Amino acid sequence: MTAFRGALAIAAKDLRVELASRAALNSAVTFAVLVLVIFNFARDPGQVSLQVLAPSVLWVTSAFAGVVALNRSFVMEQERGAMDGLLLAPISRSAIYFGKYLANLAFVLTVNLVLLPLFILFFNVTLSTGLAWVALLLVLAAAGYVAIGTVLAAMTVRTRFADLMLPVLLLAFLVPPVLVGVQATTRLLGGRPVGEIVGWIRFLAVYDVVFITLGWLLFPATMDE
Amino acid sequence: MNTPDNGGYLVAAYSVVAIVMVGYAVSLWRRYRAGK
Amino acid sequence: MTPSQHDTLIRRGLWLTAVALVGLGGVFVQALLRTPVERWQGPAQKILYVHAPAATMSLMAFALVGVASMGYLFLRDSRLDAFAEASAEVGLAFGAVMLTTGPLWARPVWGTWWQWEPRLTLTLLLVLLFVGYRTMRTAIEDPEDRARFSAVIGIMALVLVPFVHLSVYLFRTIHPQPVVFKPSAPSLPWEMLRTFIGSMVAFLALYVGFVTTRYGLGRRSGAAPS
Repeated sequence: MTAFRGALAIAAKDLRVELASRAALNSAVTFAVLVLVIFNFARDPGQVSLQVLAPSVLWVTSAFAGVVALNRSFVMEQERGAMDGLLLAPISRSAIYFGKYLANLAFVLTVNLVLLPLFILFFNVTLSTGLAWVALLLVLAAAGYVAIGTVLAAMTVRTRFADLMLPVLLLAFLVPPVLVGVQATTRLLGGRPVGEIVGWIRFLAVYDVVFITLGWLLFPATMDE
Repeated sequence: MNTPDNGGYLVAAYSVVAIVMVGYAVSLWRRYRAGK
Repeated sequence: MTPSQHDTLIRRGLWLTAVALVGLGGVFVQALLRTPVERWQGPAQKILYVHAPAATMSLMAFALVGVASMGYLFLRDSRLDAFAEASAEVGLAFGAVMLTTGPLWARPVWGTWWQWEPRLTLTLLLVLLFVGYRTMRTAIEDPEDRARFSAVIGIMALVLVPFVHLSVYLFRTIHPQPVVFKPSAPSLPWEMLRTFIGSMVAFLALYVGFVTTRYGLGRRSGAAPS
């Protein structure tokens, strides 16, 4: 089958399996809600206003929940020894990469989809076009770090401390998108026009292109030869 | 303005450098001996 | 290479390291006793003579891991993997020096232990990454898997560098800190410059000595019958 259809087939399979058990989704969403609630209380209300804290909380929660979701990505194959089957199928390694990437991205974005309304609720955020742009930024950032996470997860799942290794390795790669995301979100939620944050958007776009491509180039090296 | 009296930090920093660099060299030496 | 050839390489590395350590001692003497004290910063300014070279060697070591990693994926030569492993470990040693001497300089001179400025932040993240790199290496038994996976991380780390640097730089220019963290002043008087250069040379010699030794050790244990 063509690479494109192969990728979609793999993505669909992952999503179908996940929807059946919802294990990863549940843990990631629960985690996101917990973090959001705790942040609300982890401050002195007299000293720190919700508005000041909001952008950081949003991005930290989103990033951490994304990592939790990514952790589940390859565990399934490993547990059922299905990795070999995957490699023997008439699908190129690139297709496997894009399939896994799309499935992971769908997981992470789903978690963010649950996170955002709760964020609006708890942090008293005004609905505005700025908020819509914030949502776009979350998607853009996820597109980048999910690519890296897909490659890293393919490797860490073979190690003994997989659940710990992935966050440790991924952390450094999260810094640029989170840093940029928080800066832009602060301005957007503060009512600044989109024009002011175009530079940040471009940064995220370049980050995405570079790491999605790099992930595609390096992924084959993570599979048995 | 008088020159500040912060020599303590200087001593601490140079001690750290000495300990880490010599310590690492010694660990390499030990690994060499252990593998012989 | 036969085992005795590995041993020879290790011994050469150890000798070079010993010489470099003596050189480092000389740098200590030069910096502490024969270089004038900077009037505004005080004695603590001299920390820079060891901090900046350590920082440079650390970043250079990690960059070389990235280059060797690319080489490995193309050529599949296990010597490149051994070099990457060695340079990563040495990079961590210099990184530890950098991350401790940095705050020890910043606190007395600028009043704050830490600054989220590009070079420090980058080194911190790279150190974290390469600690993870080492941990992952110990967790994978098959040498080829280990080499391939390490190479993937090494390359991704190298590509990450400009993104971290740029994002932290933008972070700082938009929020100008009252403190500017500049490891080297724009124009040093000769007595200070020569100490600085001498220190760079000594640290470079340490890098070469350390990596040679560590490379030899890695090759020797890789070649040993299991």
